[in-house]
Amino acid sequence: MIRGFLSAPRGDLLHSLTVQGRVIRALMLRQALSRFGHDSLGIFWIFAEPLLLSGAVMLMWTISGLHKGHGVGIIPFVLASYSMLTLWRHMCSISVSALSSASSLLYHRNVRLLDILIARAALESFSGMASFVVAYLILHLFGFIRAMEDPLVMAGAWLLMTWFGWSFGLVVAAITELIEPAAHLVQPLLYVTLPITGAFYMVAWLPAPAQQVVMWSPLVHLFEMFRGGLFGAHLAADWSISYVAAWCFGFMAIGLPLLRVAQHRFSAH
Amino acid sequence: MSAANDARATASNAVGRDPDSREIGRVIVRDVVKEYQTPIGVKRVLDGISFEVGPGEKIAVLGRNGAGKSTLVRIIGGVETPSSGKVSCGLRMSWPVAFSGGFDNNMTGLDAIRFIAGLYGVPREEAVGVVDDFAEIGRYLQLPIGTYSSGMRARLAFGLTLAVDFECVLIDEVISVGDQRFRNKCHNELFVKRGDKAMILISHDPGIIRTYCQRALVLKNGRGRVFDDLDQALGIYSTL
Repeated sequence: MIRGFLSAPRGDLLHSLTVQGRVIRALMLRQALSRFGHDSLGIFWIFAEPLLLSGAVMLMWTISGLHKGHGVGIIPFVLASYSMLTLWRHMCSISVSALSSASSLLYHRNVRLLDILIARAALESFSGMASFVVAYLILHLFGFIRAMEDPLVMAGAWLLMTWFGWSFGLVVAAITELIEPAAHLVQPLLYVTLPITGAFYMVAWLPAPAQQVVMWSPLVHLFEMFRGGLFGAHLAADWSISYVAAWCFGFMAIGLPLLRVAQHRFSAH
Repeated sequence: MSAANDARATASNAVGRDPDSREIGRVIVRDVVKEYQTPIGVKRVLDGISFEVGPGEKIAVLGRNGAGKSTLVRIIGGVETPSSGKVSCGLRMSWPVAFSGGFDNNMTGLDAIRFIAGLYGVPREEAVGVVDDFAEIGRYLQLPIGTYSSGMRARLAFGLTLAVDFECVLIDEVISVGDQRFRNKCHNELFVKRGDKAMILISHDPGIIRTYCQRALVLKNGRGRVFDDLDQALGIYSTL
């Protein structure tokens, strides 16, 4: 409760933050173990997936002779889009019925629901980034991708996508808990909304009226920013950080209270 | 980003549990009502439960199947929130002793120990020592929990509870698994070595309750009453 939070003695906040940091670290480690297991094969696939995809695309485009598109190589384009898209999709799918899967951890009194959601998102973001970097380095070494133009912009886009996916995930977590059948709608929804993610095009390639429409989608901004950082001046990219941030705050403003309602209604059996 | 952090800090308190209850030093359950939506209408599982546990006090919870004991455990444990009423937890409360639901089958025993040690800020080696000492599963600690027998799982989970210094121990059905030796060991750890801790003890065992508890909460159809006289409580329980 916010009342209690404000009336807490001063030293308490620092203490709480320390505890929260410790808890989130422990939760991330647990999450990593349960997702990837102990055999190195679990981790191997994380890195192998984007590489396999890039390889397959490379093969397809080379055979069809279409790989000189809009002045950028198709391989870096596909790798960047795929990594970003994977992060977005994973952030959504880990939020589905997150309350039920997290409930047994709530027996530990210093674990709060939000800690679990933060830890999961952080791990997802981190492993996604690692897999992109590994694939990038390998493809770069073999000369398929030129050096990143602006790594900071790329990192910024990645973090922003993490925040966006996390805040959208709050809404997903709450709704799928309150209305169980909604869980079945998430995957189709992700599929249907693929065209407005901006994964398959640069906005500059579209006709002007279409450009105006897709720029309403915060996801398009994120994809533009990520690829903008990769290609730099070689490609016209346009994005607004504050526009995406506004969406994030909006989702948080809806998601957090809704999650509280969901948690209140939640029953563990 | 600092705005986002602030929002998150405030928000995490909004969704989390009351932090102002820390100071009180007692576990206080007041007028707790829990209702579930079911296809046949609203079911009231707990109906105005109140009791308190101070440091070192031991209270038994008695009730037939379906009286609401498990729901009470989940509410005290913090997994579910009451529909109305309030639980404030001023003592460091354990998770239900030997509860192993929080561990993933891919984790090894050692991972589980590290996880708990990390969560509660216990030095790792110390925790490993305590658990290893108690659970006696030796090198199996290095194998995934999924490969454990149910007895090993229970011993590990029980050992983990012992690795953290709790002020109030929540016990849901004293150890229904394991052999005689294991039970004796559990008994010794809980009631002899931790005799000075507060306990909330859900049990059907009149012997244990008579020996260790000062009071008993008797539940029937979601309603509850606290008795200071254990014989009276057990008498009523036997007629339920």
